[in-house]
Amino acid sequence: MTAIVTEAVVGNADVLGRAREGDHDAFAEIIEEHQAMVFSLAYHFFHDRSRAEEIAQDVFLQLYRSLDGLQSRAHVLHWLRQVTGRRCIDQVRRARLREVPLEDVEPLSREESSGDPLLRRRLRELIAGLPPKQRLIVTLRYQEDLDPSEICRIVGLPVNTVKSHLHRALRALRRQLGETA
Amino acid sequence: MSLEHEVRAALRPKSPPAGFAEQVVARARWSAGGVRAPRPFHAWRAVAAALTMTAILGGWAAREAAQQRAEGERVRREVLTALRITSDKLRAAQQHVQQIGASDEYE
Repeated sequence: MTAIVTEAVVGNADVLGRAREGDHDAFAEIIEEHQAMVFSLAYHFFHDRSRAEEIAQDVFLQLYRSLDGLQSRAHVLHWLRQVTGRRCIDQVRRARLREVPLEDVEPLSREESSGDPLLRRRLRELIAGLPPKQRLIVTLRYQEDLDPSEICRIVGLPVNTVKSHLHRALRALRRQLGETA
Repeated sequence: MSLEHEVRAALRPKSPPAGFAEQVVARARWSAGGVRAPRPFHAWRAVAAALTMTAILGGWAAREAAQQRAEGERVRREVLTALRITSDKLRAAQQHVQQIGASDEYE
């Protein structure tokens, strides 16, 4: 087991090293490893696929230019979460969000056939309507399964503030769901 | 079912469109081409560099030649002055000798 873990860590470190030396295949491996996380953070933030794709591309291009300063796989993961979050917040600050076009509204997927797909879609819409910081914190908490002490390092807020944002966001979602039910 | 469970299910990670990684790598390659690739050779740059060097060396050579000419002229003037002085002194000495010779004839 230790040997397998060591091999995996060395392999990933090697991928980072090769990417740093300009190996585009290695860089593609890094993208493939993290693309769902980066894309989903932006998608759940904006509830807009094309905007999420645009932000994810920009984040990975910034990563490409920043490879020299990144030391490990964990560092890359933390960096990607932090930069994606910042970009989402910055976009909201720069411009008020436009309405989500109908073609961007995601069709119901097969994986959502269990449970209540309409409730989940409604939840995504409500999350996309939360204040930007609450939205990012909720997404990091429930998409990435991070606890408040990890989230506070990414968003740069005290841990109690993060907990408070989470509490208020859940209360707002509960209230809005109650109103629509 | 709890709200947190539903939120977690609603925020399940999603995949970007197919070919996403390839698109990013293509953009990275393109940007690297502008930043990291060696600069292409341009003939006009070599010509401009050669002309600049020629102008600098030519200017330096012309300045050296002008300085040498000025130095030569100064030396020539000094020699002429020295010759003139010598000539004047010789003429004065010759006149003095002739005057002495003439006075001897009358005596």
